Amino acid sequence: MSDAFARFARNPAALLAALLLAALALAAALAPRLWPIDPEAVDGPPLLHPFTDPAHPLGTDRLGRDLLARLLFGARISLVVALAAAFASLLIGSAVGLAAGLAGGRIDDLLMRITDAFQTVPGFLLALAFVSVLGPEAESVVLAIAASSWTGPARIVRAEILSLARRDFVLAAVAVGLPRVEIAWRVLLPNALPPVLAYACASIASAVLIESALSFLGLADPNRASWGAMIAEGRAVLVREPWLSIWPGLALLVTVLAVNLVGEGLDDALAPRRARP
Amino acid sequence: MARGLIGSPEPVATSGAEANTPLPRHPALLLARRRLAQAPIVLLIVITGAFLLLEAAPGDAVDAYLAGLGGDAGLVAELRRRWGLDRSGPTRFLLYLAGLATGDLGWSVSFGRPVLAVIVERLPITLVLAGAATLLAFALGTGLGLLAGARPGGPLDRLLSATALLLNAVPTFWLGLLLVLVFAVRLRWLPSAGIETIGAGHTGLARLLDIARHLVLPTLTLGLVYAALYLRLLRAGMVEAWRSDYVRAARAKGIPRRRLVLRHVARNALLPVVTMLGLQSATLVGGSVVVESVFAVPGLGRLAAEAVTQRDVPLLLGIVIVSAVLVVLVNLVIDLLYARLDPRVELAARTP
Repeated sequence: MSDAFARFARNPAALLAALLLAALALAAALAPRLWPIDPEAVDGPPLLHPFTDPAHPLGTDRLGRDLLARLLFGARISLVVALAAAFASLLIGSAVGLAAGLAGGRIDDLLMRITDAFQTVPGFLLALAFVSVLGPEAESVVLAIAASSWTGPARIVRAEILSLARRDFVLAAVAVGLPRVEIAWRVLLPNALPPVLAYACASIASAVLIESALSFLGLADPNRASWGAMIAEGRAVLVREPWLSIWPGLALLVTVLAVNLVGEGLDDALAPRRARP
Repeated sequence: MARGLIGSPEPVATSGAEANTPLPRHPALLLARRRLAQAPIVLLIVITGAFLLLEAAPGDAVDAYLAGLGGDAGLVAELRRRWGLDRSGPTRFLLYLAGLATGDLGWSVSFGRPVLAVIVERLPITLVLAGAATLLAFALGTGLGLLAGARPGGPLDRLLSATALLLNAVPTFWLGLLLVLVFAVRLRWLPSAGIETIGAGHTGLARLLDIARHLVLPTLTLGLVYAALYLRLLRAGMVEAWRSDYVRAARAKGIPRRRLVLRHVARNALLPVVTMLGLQSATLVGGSVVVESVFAVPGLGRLAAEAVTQRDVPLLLGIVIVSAVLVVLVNLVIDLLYARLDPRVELAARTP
């Protein structure tokens, strides 16, 4: 693992992206202290241009709310929802993949057909269906994103379990007479996890994008600033004040780009370990 | 050969059934047959899921039907009895299935019309948009991917790969807004929204051209995002191929570089791109929801977004089922296309 860490640290793009994400997470967490302006309060003249008033460095929106404060608080929603959704999808996917890979036979067949079914329905439509039935609360958005993205990890874990099951150290564990549950939990799962971890960043990136699209369409919690919803609001004055839409879009772009770069770095760092026999 | 397979009455890929088929036993064809056999099961699971969500949603079909008409408690009870909504869960599910079999996808609350009729009206625009975007993405992605993968690490590769990395991270709806800002607002080259110029009274070819002009920016938005994906995929496959023994051998033989890149390096790297084309058909429908909303294109995607804001669950689930059927069909076609592209099929066809 320390090898992998060293390989990751030698990748300048991935390292820079990781630092940037850490800074972003910190800024989002400390937003009320860093920039103590209420993101929902009317705080200045409406549609103030960026870089004109030091009190509102990025300007204000149509209602005169401070854009920097809204961006920082929007980061909270985007990051928390995306992380929770990615975690949930990895958890569900790993559980299904583990069950399918271990059980084999009919249970495996059934679980894989369910996975097929979930992949057959366009993911974003599925997320829409969940949100429309469950409501626009943050919890249902998390569930909706997880429901539309657990299939990737499920396939990865299942494939990994199937290939591991034929390896000597697993056969040895079986021969020694270790209980099945223990083999699954202590032998198979830890060895199947690295590819899932490498996939985690892709999960987070796509969760950020899905969350932003849902809130852009006005389907997430309307009472809290989020990057997608800010772009939708700015759209009303797109021609006169394009900055209102451009700032939150840039924030999304940079975040997703950084997550992807970290993911590629992790992939490269972990891959040699997987290739070794 | 493809048609023969689809029409085959015995789609299960057992060894006995294969003996009757004079076709090469290509893995991709076997895969296609297995998919065909599994398709009904997969669709049944999708429909079951849709039914469960429909049951979980507040209100039922009668509420939906009477939403615009109004009606007293007696009428509600009478309709519930007639439509079988007072029966047990399993019976309701069977009634739902029977309805689907006859093309009855339920009643749309917000339109006050059958769901299928609304969908059929909106589907063609989305098919055109998704088809055009796929063509653009495939042409641009493989074309530029070929250039990038021809000399990995070269200046052109760096430029293209960096652009693809950016496009991979951009929210589709935001890219759409940026394109509107540049091409519709600043340059005034293209319309920013809608499907045709309202009140222009175009007919025939002029109307088609007008619609095409309106579809340029939505197609570009959707196409660019997927082009980046195909570019990265093809390039990655080519980088892999450069390291392989057969390319080294071909190089050692002194095959001209152009021929080497096209016939040896790129050809195999194209196969995963074709597979991805099928896998992306599902996400493409999802992407059209956002793009159609940005550009006010009255297609299936925008219909889905409207269904959510109108809380029209039957309509939304109807769209889910119809797009699942479409995705299954597209993937079958892709599987067969794959068999055509794979050089091993050529070999099998030539050797008796």
